[in-house]
Amino acid sequence: MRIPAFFTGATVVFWGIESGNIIIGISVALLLEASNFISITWELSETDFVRISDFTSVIFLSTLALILLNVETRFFLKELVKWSPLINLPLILAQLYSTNDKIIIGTRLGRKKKKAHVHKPMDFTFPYCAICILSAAIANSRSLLFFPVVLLLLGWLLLVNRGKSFSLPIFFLLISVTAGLGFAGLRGAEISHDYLTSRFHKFVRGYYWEKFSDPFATHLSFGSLRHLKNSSQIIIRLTTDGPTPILLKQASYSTFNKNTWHSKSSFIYLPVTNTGWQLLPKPSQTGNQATIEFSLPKEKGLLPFPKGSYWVEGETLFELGQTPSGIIKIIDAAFHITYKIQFKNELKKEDDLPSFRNLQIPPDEDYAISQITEKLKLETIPKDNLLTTVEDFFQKYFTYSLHITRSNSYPTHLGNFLLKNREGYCEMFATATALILRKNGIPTRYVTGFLVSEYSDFENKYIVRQRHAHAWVEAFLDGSWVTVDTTPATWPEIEQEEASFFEPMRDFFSYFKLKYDQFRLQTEQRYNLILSCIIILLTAFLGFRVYHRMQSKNKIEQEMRARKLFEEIATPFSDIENKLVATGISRGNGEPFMAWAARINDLQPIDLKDIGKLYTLHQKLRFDSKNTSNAVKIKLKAGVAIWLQHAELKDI
Amino acid sequence: MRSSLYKLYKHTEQIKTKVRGKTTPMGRFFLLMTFASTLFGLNTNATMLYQLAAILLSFLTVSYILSLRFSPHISITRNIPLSCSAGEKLSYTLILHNNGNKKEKGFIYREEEHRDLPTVAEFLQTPETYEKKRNIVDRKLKYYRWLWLIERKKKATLPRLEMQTILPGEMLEMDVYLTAEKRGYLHLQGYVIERYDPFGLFRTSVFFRKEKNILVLPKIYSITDLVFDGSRKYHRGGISTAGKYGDSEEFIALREFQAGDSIRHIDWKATARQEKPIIRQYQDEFFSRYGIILDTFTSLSDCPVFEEAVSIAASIVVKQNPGRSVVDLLFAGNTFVSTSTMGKGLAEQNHMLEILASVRTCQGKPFSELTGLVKSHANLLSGAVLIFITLDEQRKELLAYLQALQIPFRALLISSEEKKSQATIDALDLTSCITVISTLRTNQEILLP
Repeated sequence: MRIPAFFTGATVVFWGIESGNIIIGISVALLLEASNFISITWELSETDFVRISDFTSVIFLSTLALILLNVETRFFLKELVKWSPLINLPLILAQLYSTNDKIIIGTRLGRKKKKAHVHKPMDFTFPYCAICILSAAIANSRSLLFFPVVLLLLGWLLLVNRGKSFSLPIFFLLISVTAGLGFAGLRGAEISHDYLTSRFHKFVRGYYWEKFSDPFATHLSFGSLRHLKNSSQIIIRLTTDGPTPILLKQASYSTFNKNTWHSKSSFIYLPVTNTGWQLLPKPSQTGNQATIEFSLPKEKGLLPFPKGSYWVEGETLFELGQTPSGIIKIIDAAFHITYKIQFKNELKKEDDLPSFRNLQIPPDEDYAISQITEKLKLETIPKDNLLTTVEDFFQKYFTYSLHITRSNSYPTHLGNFLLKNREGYCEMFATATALILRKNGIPTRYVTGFLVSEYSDFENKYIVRQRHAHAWVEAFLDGSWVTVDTTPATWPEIEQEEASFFEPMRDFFSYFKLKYDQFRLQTEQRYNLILSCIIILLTAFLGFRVYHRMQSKNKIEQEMRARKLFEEIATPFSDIENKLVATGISRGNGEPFMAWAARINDLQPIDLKDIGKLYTLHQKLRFDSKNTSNAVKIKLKAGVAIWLQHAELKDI
Repeated sequence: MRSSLYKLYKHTEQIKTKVRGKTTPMGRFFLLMTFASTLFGLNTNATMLYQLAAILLSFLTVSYILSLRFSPHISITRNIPLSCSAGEKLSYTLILHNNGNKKEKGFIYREEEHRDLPTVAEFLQTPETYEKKRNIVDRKLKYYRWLWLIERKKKATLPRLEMQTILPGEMLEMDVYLTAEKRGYLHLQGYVIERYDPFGLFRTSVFFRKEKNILVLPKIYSITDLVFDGSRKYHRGGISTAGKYGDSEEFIALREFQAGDSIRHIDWKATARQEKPIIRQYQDEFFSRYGIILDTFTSLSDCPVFEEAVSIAASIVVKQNPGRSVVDLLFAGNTFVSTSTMGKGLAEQNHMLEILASVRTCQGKPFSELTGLVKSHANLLSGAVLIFITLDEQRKELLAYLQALQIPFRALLISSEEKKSQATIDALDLTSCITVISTLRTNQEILLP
């Protein structure tokens, strides 16, 4: 497999254009292609490659963390692939700028740090080009140039790797055939996808619509809350300055039909009053205040509030709306909201009055309601005692359970619940209570919200998990809406028993996620910069370590080279040497100086003893010039001068 | 479970072989990219991977269609030598002839060898070297063991190279190389001519069955001379088998004819001079006869230590001067115990190397079989080299037997774990008579004690 020259750079530039990072793309391409022109290459050992691999892993993990924190989970893979050309950059740079034509991928991370785990050497160029092209495609620019450019790039790659048995014209002819086929293929894929999507949408519209298009829960199917019962995720944290509200109301519904509660109330935009919202007229006596932290991933939804809430304020709440029944809609807010809400239980909304809808009973549920009414002889009981009778009925004969296994003998869920199984969860209790009371002339509405029952010692706050989602009834009695909760009071304990073993651990992480979310909100956009700075610093530190290691290796080599070089020292001893050369007895190859001098001395006495002493001084000056004192130099100079004088006299 | 794993790996390997035979590395990369882009590009609105997938698929389709038909008009004659040494490059020539009427270019030539996959027994019973160091998942799944066994089954690096362009009717000579990795017979089934499609993604190949066997001799290491204390003492032999080289007996003196002497030995000139029958007195030739006793007893069919032992035995054989001494090779096979002799005209060195090239491990037989063979042969031996691959009481007993007969010997223990083996030697109290040779040091000169 051969990669044509400049192909890698071209794919990186292509990625840059498609992903909207043109400058980064061009810079990286220049950096990669510069390796063709720059003669500097590093000699990287296996350990260096392992370090670079680990460094890449750190970049990968850092990027992963950044993406998970900043991007919606469902886009995380897409985002990760989009940035993979940059994540893998150290690996390709290591290959292009090293003397090796392959890289060794390995790791020293993990338990056995001393021994690196390495794979066989591999040429990373082609995988890198493939990563760039895939990342460009993932970026989804919808550019019309994508198709022809990819075709061109792949054609270029195949041109140098083509089968040599065929001529070039045939190759180009086939490329054009492929282009036609490819275009037909992509159009076919688009048409097929559109067709399948429309079919799929039709098929699951109900579910799809509810799941993704209804943040304000204008209707609620029977069993919706049941799904939440499996989750122990903390969604609300609450602190109060007084008594803690037991129930946080979120939505109310008036009409029940085909197992679904519907709400027809329209929201009215709430104007801001003094940095907050007036929900009810302020009472003469100040009520209690609760501080609620609520996770709101869609940045809109319904605001949980205690009964009798009259004032709400919070920096992370931007726009609110309200229905005549008092339900508060968050039109715009941050993804995690913290708000202070003031409440007084006795307060009521004057225009929150029942209508005919609050008395409606669906015809298909009437058989069960009528049977219960007859059985309990509710028609004969005065209205004041009705609530107590109904509550007693459910408390005595019904049990709370999330696992209903008995067979269905009646056509509706409610019928089976009331007449046969007599076990169920809050939705069933609330619905049954609402309809039984309606049957007896009391207007009711079905209310959903949360039960506040669990206190976290770790966070020092009340916490509300998803499984604390609850449904109850509000009955209109004596001119006001009264809370009627017929679900057996033991339900939080029953659910607690079924909680996961790992719940405390999850809570712990949830707490840190909360703190991080708050940090993000407080610092607005700066968090990206701060985290990026941390990651850059960390990666730079690791990069420095790799570089430092290579540098220190070079330094040692340079030092070794430096040690071999000696400064030329002007030594007076060279005069003696010249004098000896002049004797005509040449020095043998590799012959030590003193051996040569001794040889000369045998033929012609030359004061060998003096020469020996002077030679010692000369050697000292030669090899340890820095530490040799001036006195030694002077002594040597004087000694040489005396010897030369003697030599003159002896006519050497 | 284990045999299911074996089946899975076997089928996967067969599929891999087929895919590799049909695609080029570029083609495989294209297939991989197509798979990835199709898988993640199903939503045409979310990414543009579907466009990439469409292009890649078009390339692969066109490429595949063009790779369906291929009939080369080239005939090839291979001049393959009969033998080579393991680990050494073997060069041979091909004579290519274009029988067709058009120029042929861009073809690939490659040799095809008979390829065995590991058997179930091998897969289950042959642990990978250092397998204990692998994590529990790898140890249980045994995939790395499978890959290791596949690699070990590879007998040679076979030639694969692009052929020159051949004009119609032209005849060309081409040099190719192969490197045999393992000793024994290398069965070349034939050769394959390949052609890449215009995009270079698929390859079409035509197989020509032309079977050839190459005898791959064991690796020969640099080894010091084998000198025995008793090698200067010649042992009486009676080498009648050397008859084809004439009388090898040595003349000592003349003496008077005695009844029963062979008339053939009468020295007629001396008889004429002395006027009475004089015969030539001869002495049987005395020579040294060494035994190389090779330990083949291991439970593994493919044991690296045993391979090293064979190589060391071969190195000793090569080092001997066949004209000076006789060398006996004593070993046990799965169905036989064998003695083979070379030197002094009995057999060629190559003959013994051929035996060593083909020797296999002996499984399911006790070591006493070899001990019996050595005992029956002991009176002929003037020295012995024992090459052990493991050490136990039975081997110790053999050494004691040779010591008792005062037959000088050198005992070598080939081992991949030098320290462990040394500890075993110490435990068996054999420190003075056994030398450990590490398999890791065979690249250096092996010093015999």
